[in-house]
Amino acid sequence: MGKIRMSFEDKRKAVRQGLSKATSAAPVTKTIKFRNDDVPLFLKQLRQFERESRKKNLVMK
Amino acid sequence: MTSLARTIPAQSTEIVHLQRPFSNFQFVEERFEDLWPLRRILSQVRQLGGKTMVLESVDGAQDILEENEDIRSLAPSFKKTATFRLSFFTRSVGAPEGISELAPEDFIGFAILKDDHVPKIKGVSRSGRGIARVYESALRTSSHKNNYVRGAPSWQCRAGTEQFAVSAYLYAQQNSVTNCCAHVALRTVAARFHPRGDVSYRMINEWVAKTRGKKRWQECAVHEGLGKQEVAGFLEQVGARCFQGDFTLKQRPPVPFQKYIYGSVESGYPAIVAFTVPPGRAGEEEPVAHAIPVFGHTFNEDIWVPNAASSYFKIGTGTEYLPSELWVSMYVCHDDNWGSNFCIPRRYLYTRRLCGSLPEGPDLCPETPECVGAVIGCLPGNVKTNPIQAEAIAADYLLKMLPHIPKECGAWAERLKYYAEEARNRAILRPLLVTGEQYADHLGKVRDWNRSRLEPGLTSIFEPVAQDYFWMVELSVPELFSANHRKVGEILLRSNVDPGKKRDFRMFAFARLPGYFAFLKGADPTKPQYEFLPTGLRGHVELYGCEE
Repeated sequence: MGKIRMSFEDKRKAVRQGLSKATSAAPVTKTIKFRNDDVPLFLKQLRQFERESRKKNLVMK
Repeated sequence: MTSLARTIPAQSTEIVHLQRPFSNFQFVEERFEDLWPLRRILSQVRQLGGKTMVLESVDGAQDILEENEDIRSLAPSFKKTATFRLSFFTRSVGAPEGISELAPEDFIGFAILKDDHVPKIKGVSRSGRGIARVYESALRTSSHKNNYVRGAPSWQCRAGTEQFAVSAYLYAQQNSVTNCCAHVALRTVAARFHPRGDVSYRMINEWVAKTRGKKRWQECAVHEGLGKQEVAGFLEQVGARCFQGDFTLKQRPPVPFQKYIYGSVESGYPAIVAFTVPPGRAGEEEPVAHAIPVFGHTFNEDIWVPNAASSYFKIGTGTEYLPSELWVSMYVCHDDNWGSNFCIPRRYLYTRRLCGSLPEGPDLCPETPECVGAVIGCLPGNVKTNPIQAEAIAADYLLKMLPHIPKECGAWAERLKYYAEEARNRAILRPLLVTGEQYADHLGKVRDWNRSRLEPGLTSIFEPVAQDYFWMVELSVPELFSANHRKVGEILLRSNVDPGKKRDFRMFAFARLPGYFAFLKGADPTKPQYEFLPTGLRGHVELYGCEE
């Protein structure tokens, strides 16, 4: 497969259109609410832990 | 470097028959005194069905001369050295001329042994000593079907007049003069990323000297160790992106250390694990660590661990699931002190407990100094999201999206919902780094339980994203995952987007759930809309890497 220079959004649209053409059934659209912030909070903690980890040195010998 | 000990013509060639009554013990005792890692190498050769060893004398290769020159720069009177190449085969040959009859599949691997007599070096060694060691070795990994080692580099080797190749993670022993355990672990890992496929110890030392602001590496006492940040820095210099957890911090880590190892090795990239040893043992006041490279794992289909309540990975009250890492029973590693391709039980390793009952306040438990101190996971340099983040983000999308999958999407969508819902928290997530091309290839190979494939031509649709890297987080449920190595879908996340602090819908590339592909339609963070495109694939298919 050759390299294609497109923005990721355009690539995603191309894939979506390709899949849409390949199927005869109609797509279904749904609005999905993200009610809790578990993951953003976890990512924040993880980022802080990894930042502190990068500050700490440990001699390997 | 064009002339290497593993590829140069030999000065002498001897055939050694490895079948009974040949004794590995006697061979090591007579030829290489007490070289423990060689015992381990010969044991692996025995397990892999080795019948012939080609033993050659290979002095004068550029890589060996470079190391000798470096030792001599610290000890000018260093002269005595000898290098041997051992190549192993599963077929018998009677004489060196018979090597040309050996087939590529007969080759098990090789070991380069270096026997040096290093004189007294001020500040390095108190008295002159002989150092016989495995300079480097690469052997096929275990033939056990539950061992998974991915991404191993290929090594070209010569035996007699013939060329052979083996895919393996390189094992090496330190010489304690110009290198230490951190150097050899670095070499194993860096070979996966460096465009030339290998790095030399001089290359590492010169980089260390530069970062320490020294003109010459000889001023750096490299035998006394490398810092964790130097190790990570060198790996990033040769093309890796490191993500690291330090478990000597006086805070409760948000994830167990195993996730740093698994996230690397499952996608075919090695990690470095550093074990702390008690202060004083190595003559230091501060804790120091021994470093080993880890590059694979075993999979135990019958493991009890995922059934234990404490095994759920809980990100928050509404986000719990089973990480696929729970089915790992061993990690596959090298230890330069003892040899190659060992298995370490996943639960044998542990980190220091944070003790809250000490009078001076929370501190690391003083009773357990010998623990995992840090893990450096590795990925390709252009990847900005690490596997721990990817798994959590995929769980976020999956658990929010599942209740909204269109009705009449089949029994497996209903089962996935059933296992994933809050009362059970038993959806299984497995993060893997793949390119769009690899994903399309995988979709082209998989078959459902009725042995039906996806519609022909569907995989070519992914051509626009062929060169992009994605975190493919596979979705499965207990028993289907462990016994059948199968899944019901996957969520694909962009790997080159920094996840940031807030939920970023740009990360979601698309998902395949039973009966549907899902795409984000509108990126309004307050009202994200998803479009479900029907597919004929409603059942379960093979996991990535387990295609029939």
